[in-house]
Amino acid sequence: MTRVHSALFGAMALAGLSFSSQAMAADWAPSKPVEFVVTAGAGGGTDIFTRTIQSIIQKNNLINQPIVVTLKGGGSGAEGFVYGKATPGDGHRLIFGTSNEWLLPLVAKVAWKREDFVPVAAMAFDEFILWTRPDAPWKTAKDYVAAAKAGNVKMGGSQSKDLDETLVKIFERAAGIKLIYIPFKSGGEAAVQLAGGHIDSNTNNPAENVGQWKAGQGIPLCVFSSQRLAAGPKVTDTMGWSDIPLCKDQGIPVDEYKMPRAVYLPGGVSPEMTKFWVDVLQKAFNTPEWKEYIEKTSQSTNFLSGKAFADYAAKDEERTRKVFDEAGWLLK
Amino acid sequence: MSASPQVLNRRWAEIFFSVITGAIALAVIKGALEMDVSWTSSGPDAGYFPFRVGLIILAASVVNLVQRGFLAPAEGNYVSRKDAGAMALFFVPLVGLAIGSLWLGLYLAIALYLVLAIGWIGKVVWHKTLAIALGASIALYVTFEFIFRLPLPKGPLGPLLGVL
Amino acid sequence: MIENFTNLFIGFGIALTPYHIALMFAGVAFGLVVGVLPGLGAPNGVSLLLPLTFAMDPVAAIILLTSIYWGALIGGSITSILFNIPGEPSSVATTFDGYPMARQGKATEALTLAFLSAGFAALVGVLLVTTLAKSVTQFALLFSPIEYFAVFMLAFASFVAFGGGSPVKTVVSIGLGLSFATVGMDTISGSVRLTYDVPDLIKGISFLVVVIGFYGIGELLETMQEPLAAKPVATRLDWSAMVRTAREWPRYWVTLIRGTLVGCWMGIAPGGPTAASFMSYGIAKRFTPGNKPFGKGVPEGVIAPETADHSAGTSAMLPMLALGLPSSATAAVLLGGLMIWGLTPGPMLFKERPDFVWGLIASMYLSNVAAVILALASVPLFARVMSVPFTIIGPLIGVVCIISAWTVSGSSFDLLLLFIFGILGFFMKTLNYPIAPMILAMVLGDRSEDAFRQSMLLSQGSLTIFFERPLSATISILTLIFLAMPIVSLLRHRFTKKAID
Repeated sequence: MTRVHSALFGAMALAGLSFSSQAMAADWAPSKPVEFVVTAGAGGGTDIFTRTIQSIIQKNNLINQPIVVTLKGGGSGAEGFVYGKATPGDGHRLIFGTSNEWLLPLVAKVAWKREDFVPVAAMAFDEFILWTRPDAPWKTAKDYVAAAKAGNVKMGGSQSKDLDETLVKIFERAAGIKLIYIPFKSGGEAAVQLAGGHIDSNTNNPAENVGQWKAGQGIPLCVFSSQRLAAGPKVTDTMGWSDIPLCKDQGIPVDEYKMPRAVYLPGGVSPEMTKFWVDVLQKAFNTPEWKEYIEKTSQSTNFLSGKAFADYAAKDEERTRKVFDEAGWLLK
Repeated sequence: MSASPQVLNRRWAEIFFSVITGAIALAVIKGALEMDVSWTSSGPDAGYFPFRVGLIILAASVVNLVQRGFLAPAEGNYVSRKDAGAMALFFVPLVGLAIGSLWLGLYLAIALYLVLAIGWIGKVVWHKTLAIALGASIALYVTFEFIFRLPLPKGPLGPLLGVL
Repeated sequence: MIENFTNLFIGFGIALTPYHIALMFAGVAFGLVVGVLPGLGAPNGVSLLLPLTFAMDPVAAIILLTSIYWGALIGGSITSILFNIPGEPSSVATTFDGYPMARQGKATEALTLAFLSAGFAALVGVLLVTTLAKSVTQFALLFSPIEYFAVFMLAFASFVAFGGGSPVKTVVSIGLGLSFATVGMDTISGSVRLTYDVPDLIKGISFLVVVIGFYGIGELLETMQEPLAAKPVATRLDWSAMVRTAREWPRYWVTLIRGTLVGCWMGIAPGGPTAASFMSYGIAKRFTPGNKPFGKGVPEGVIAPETADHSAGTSAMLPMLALGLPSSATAAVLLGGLMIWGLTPGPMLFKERPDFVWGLIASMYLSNVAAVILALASVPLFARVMSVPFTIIGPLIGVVCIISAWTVSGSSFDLLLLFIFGILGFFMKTLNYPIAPMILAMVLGDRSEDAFRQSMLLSQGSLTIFFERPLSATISILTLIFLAMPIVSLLRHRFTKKAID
C-alpha cells in the first residue's frame, strides 16, 4: 500500500519537475527508479563493484529511489555502453565499467566514442599480478622471464585485445620476451586453467586467483605496481598480499598497470546531475562497507572525479594507444 | 488441406526458402571476408570458420534449390489463400503490438492488442475479452514491477504511475 | 566418503531450521514462476533477488537463491510441454515429445513424468556431489580447452548423428545455427564479426530470442494453418491420471538412469545442462528398443532430457563451489553472490566454510523435493490451460513471446529479430528442415569454436593434440564411434539387402 502511495507521490513530483526542470535544475535528484548498467557478465569484477555500490547506497539511504541493476555484458561490455548512449541527458542511468569505455572504441567497431559519456568517478583500481602454476620450474619472476626467453611459455588471460592482453604486450616488450597468449572468457576460467596446469601463467586480478592461491594451485610471482599491496591478514600459511614482490624489482620494468573501476553517465546530462552522483559516490566511498570491499578484493582505492578522472583517462588512452599501434590492433 | 486457392505451392516455397538461405549464406561469407579467413601458424583466424560455414550453407542451398525446385519438384499445397489470411490476422496484430509498445509502453499495448485479437478477430464476447485484456495487463504489471522489480517500458502510463 | 556423510548430517542440522525451510519453499515457488516465463529465466530470477540477500547470512542467502534455480529449472519444462515454448534453454529438448503428448490430451501425464524424472535426477546429482566431492573436483581440473572441445563434439555427435530428415536440409540447419552463434564479439581475436555495422548486433544474437521465435511464433503461425490442431484439448482433471503415471514411471528405469548419468557427466565435465539434455535425448532415441516414434509423443522423449537437465544442474554446483567455475549463466550469478557475501569460491571453500558448503548441499536434497511437490501440485492447474480455446490462448501466447523476447535484454531490436526468426521457423518447420540441430549448433557452436582455437594456440597449430592426451583421446574416439554408427548400420543394411536379393 505504502508503495502505491509513494508511487503517486512520485508521479506528482515528476509532473512538477518536468514543467520546471530548468528552474529546479540547481537541486537535481532522481525522480524515478535508477538503473545501474553493468558492462560485464554476471559474477565478474564489474558486477561485484556495481552490487557493492548498490548495497551501500541502499543500506545508508543515500538516495530516495530504488535501484535496478541490469547486466549488459555482451561484446566485452559494448552492449552496456550502446544501451547507455541511447538515453542522452538522462541522469537516471549510470554505467559501471572499467577503462573499456575508452579502450574498446580503439580496437573494435563499436557505436560510441570516449566523449559520448560523462565520466563521474573512478573509485577502485584493481591490481594485476603475474601468477604461475605451483609445479612450474621457475620460482621467481626473474626465472620466469629467463625461461620465457627460450620460448613456448603459455600465458592465459581474460578476453582478447582487452586489459590482460594489453598488459601482456607491455610485459613482453619490457622483458624482451615472446609469450603464447591464450584468451579465455573470464579471469576465473584462466585461474582454473592455471590450477589444472594447462597454462603456465596468467595476469589475474587478486580476487580472481585468491581461491587458487589459498589452495596452493597458483603462486603469485610479482605485482605490476609501483608499491607493495596493503598487508591485510595472511592468505597462505607463510604469505600475505604485501609479501608479493614488485615486478619492477624483479627486472621487469613495468612501473604500474591498473584497471580502474569507474562510473559514467550518458552524454548530455546537466552538471547538476553529474554533481549529484559525484556526491552520492563520494559518500559511498567514505563508508566502512567500501573499505571492507576494497580489502576483501585487494584493490587500491582513490576517488577520482571531474578533471582528475578525465586527465587520468586521457593519459591512459595515450599510453595504451601506443601499445595498440605497435601490436597492429588499432582500427583503421 | 483446404480447397481455397494457393498463394504459394510447395515447389515455389522450397525455391523461395532455398533462395533465402542462400542469401543468408552470402551475407555470412561477406561478413567473414571482412576478417582474416586463413589458417595461421597458431590455428584458424577469426573468419576461418564463418567463411567455410557460409560456403557450406550456400552449396546446400543450391542443392536444395535444384533438387526440390527442378529435378524432383516438391508437389502439393503449401499456403492457401485462407491460410495466408489466418496467418496474417495473427501475425500483423502481433507486429502491431511490438511497434505500438515503443510508444504506448508494453502494458497499454498489450491490453489494446488483446482486445483486438481476442474480441475483434477471435469474436469472443466483449465482457470476457475486456476481463482477459485488463486481467492480463494488470497481472503482468504487478508481476514485473512489484514481484520481479524489473521495470518494463510504460510509455505515457509511466508519468501517470510515477515509475520508470 | 564416510566423512562426507558425517558432514552431510551436520549440514542437515544447519539447513533444517524453520527459517531455511520457509526460504526453500519461497525460493522454489518464485523460481517456478520465473521458469514458466521464457526470457525471464533462472539467471534473471536469481540476479533480481540478489540485492535482497546482501543483508542475509550467507547460508540463508545461498539456500534462497539456489532454491530459485531448482524451481526455475522445473518450471521451464511446464511451458515446453504445454505451449512448445521452452521456459529455460535447457528445456528445449523437452518440447520434442512433451508438446506432442500434451496435444494428444496427455498433458497431465507428460508433466507428471517430467517432474518426477527431474526430481529423481536432481537427487542423484546431489548424491554424487555428496559422495564424490573431492575426486570429482580433481577430475574437473583435467579439462583444458582440448578436452572441452572433445566434450562438445561428443554432445553434438550423439545428438545429430542419428539422422532423420533430408541430410542436405540438416546441413543448412546446422550451418544457420553456427552462423547465428558467430555474430558479435569474438573471444579469441577480440574483434566483432558478422555485425554489418549494426550496433545492436555487437552483443550477439541471443539464443533465447531464436528459441522463442522458432518455437513460439513459428509454432503459432503453423497452428493457424491447421485449424484442426488448434482445437482445445479436453484434458481430464482427475488426480488418478497422475497417480497412474507415477505408478508406471519406474518402468522407464533404463532411460531414467541413462539420462541421469549423461547429466552428471555433463554437469561435471562441464558442458552444461542444455547440451546435456540434447545429448541424452539423442542417446535415448538411438538406444531405446522397439523403434519408438520419438518426436511424436513418447514418454522416454520427456524423461531423457529432463533427467539429464536436472542432474547436470545439480552436479554442476560442484565445479562451481570447488573451482569457482560456473557451468551455466545462473551459476555465474551465484558465484558473484558468493563474493559479495564475503566467501571465496575455490578449493579452500570446503575447508574454510564447511557449514556453508554442507548446509547448501543438504538444502539441495530438501529444496529439490520441495520443487517436485510444488510442481506436481500445480499439474491440474496447468493441465486446465490446455482446454482454453485457441482464440484466447493464441494471443496470450503471443504476448508471452513478446514480453519474453523483451526481457532477454530489454532491447526493441530483439523484437525485430523475434519476428524474423518466427518467419524463418515457420518455413523451416513446414518444409521439414530439422530445427533441433540448429538450436544445438547455436548452443555449442560458439563455445566449440573458442575451445578449438584455444587448443590450437596451446598446441601451436597441431591438430593431433586431440588424440595425444588420454582423456581427450578417449572422448574423441567415442565421438568417432557415434558418428560412424549410422554409416555402419546403413552399410550393413545395404549389404544384407543385397544378400537377400
